[in-house]
Amino acid sequence: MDIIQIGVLGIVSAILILIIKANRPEIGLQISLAFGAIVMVSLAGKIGSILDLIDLYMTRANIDGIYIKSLIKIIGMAYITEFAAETCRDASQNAIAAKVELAGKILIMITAIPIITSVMSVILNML
Amino acid sequence: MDIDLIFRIAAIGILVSVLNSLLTKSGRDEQAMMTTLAGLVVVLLMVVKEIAKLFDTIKALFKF
Repeated sequence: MDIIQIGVLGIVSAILILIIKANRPEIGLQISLAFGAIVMVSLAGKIGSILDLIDLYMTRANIDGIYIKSLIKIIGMAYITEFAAETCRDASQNAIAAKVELAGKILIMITAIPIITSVMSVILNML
Repeated sequence: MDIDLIFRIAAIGILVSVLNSLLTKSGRDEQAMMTTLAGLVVVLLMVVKEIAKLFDTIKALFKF
């Protein structure tokens, strides 16, 4: 699924949405959702290899495993939050999008607690 | 790679809007509403299945 296919598919679904948005706006939104899902599922293999590369070099530089795991988890959460928030903005629901983003930030902060505590302890030891 | 999902949804959308205007012209408004809802439910089921597949992939990838 190279970039040409994705580009053409994006343009075609944008045109289809314009056709349908006139009298059925809700189905128009669902076409963009379907496009987003299809493209991301097709890119899953490539994302997997990128993450394996990061994993490989992180373990080779013997950085602690807990940091890599939560870092990758945070990347995933950030992506899902962005996916949901942009879809809500597409449906012109900015308030809902803002709430989803706020919840995403809070949950990412929670996941990043071990990293924060270790950084703080290192800094405090230096002082 | 199910590119045809997008075209299926578009076809359903166009069909529902044509049926809707047809039914409203012929005076049967409640049936027009019913076809709209039916089309919406069908499309929603297809899209939700795709979104669930996406989120499962992401959960597996990013080791949630």
